[in-house]
Amino acid sequence: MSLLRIKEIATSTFDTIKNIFAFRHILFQLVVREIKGRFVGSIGGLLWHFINPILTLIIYLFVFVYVFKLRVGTSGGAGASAVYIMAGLFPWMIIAEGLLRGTSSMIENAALIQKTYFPTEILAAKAVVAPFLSYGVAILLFTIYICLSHGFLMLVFILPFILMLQLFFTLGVSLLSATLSVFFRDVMQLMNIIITFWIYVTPILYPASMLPEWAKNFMYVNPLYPFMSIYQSLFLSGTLGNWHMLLLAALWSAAFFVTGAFVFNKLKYEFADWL
Amino acid sequence: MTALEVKNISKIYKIYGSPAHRVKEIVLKRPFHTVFHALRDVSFTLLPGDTLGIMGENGAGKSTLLKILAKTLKPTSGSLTVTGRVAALLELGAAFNPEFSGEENIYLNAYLIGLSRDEIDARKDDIIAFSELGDFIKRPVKTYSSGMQVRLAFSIATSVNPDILIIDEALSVGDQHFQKKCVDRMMEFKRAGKTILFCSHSLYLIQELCGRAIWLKQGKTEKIGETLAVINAYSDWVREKDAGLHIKDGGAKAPGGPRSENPLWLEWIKITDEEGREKELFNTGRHVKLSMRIRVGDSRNRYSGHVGIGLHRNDEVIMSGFTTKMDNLPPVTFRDGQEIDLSFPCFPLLAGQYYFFVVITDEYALHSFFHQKSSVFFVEHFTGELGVVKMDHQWNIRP
Repeated sequence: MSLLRIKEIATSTFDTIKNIFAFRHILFQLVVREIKGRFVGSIGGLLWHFINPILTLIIYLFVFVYVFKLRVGTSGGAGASAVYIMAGLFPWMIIAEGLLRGTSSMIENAALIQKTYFPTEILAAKAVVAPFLSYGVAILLFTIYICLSHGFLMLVFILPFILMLQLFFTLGVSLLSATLSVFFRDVMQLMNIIITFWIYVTPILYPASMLPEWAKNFMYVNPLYPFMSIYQSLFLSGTLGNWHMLLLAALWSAAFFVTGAFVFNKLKYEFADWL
Repeated sequence: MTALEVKNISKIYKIYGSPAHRVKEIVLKRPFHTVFHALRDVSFTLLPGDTLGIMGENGAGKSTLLKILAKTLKPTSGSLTVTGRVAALLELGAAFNPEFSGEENIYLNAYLIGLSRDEIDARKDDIIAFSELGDFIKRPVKTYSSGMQVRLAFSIATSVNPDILIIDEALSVGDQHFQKKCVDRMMEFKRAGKTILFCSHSLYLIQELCGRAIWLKQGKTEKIGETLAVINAYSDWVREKDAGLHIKDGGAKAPGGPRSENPLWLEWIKITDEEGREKELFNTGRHVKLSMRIRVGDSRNRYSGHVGIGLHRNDEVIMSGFTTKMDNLPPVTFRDGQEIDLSFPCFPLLAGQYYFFVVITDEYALHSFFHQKSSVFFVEHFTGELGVVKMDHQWNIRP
């Protein structure tokens, strides 16, 4: 089914934002349905959105803080280590789920794309935005707790901005990987492996200072490093930390978003032929 | 102003032996694919209110053309200008999310085709009513039969009040009752002056619904123009192609089924002489009478429509076919127990085996409520004529 209300769907790089904005109400409905529908038919239902991240968090805290006795900073106790891990782990879960679902967003909706004329980028946007909402409650509670207990009021203002950068970064990577996966299904397997590796090669479950010198230099080509560094500094000290990290995060976001949107727009009309 | 202008549209698919060949082609920069022309240089223009039937064999490019018109596929070359809203029902059914209920899928699909929440709220009840899904609308789509999915898809596609309606062979699933509703709705659209593009293997539906037709053959326009001319050319070609192939029982593939499922049916069909004596053997030029008795399942329902007859030879060739509609009779209001006779006072066919194919249709003579074959009867002639038919003739030999 298709209905051409919009006469032509625009195809230049920045039209991706325009298209998503024009379909924002639909995107919202799709996201709500995605979140509601994710565990439809299970007894836990919406509760799984909380159970999943909490259980994941508990297992990491058990292994890294309790068993490995991870300590951050000089004076930090077990509590600070837990905050450190949570600061990186919640955003990481949003990224990981967004990338996995974003990569398969075109293939999963093959029937829809072949039968309906609409801006297909909203499928990728839906996949990337939905985890922000499903993990949103966990992050919100965590933020409120840190704000109240440490008085880090700046956090409330800076965090949404960083999350926005993260959204553009994830969307950019997803547009790229979703496009490639239409032509080469192997990309979906590859993304699984990347996700498995990425959490361990980024200082999320351990501080960057524990890395050997040679590995530290590689962190500047790891797009997740500046994001995680900012989150950890925000939640542990209430400051942005090194402003280089903010610049780096913004650059990675812009680079991936422009590349992803460019490649996606170049090839999105070929999708129906290949799916 | 044109509703749809198609100019020199071609669609070429690159066929790769394996995904790795795509990589090889990119890296080595020489072709590793074979080319398939799905459409070659197709052009036509439709004005608002035009109805175009699309016919052709499987793989002739019909679906590709409709997908391009619905903009889900991009043509390799050529241009397309569309004026107005397009609603398209491509292939079988819409893309439903199987886990969601029918109602939620109405919203999902309607959002994507550009309706707002208010517009959907306003139309939802109509969509559900037309689909006749009843309480099923609250259940997940994965529990639906394919017929139910098509019903919902057709309801959504046609509820948005489009200017241009594209239907790709969607009526072949679904029960008879729903097919009839679909045909009715398409007739409504036609009367309302909307542009319809309709692809079907049923040449009869195309003939009745469409003013113009296009015949695609291997992606090319073989013929385009007035419907009957295109249908005749296409049928000719199909017969030619089939010649030599042994066709077995090709007559009865339209809806039939057990009597209890039909709203009306024929209790019996008799072939008799003028005195009403049932016979199997007739002579050319003598009186042949076909009689039938109609049964209506539920007498509270009123059915009116037409009766159609096909006189077939035993090799499935139709010797003659006509309906009460073609003979300009008003629609018959069918009653339980009603008897209808058809007389051929001077049966013109020469020796052979024949049978009648009787169809009871709706008032448009489009949808078949019931059809049945009569028994086979034999015709003999002893006058030595050759051929198929005894023709009225007159010699005039001048001295």
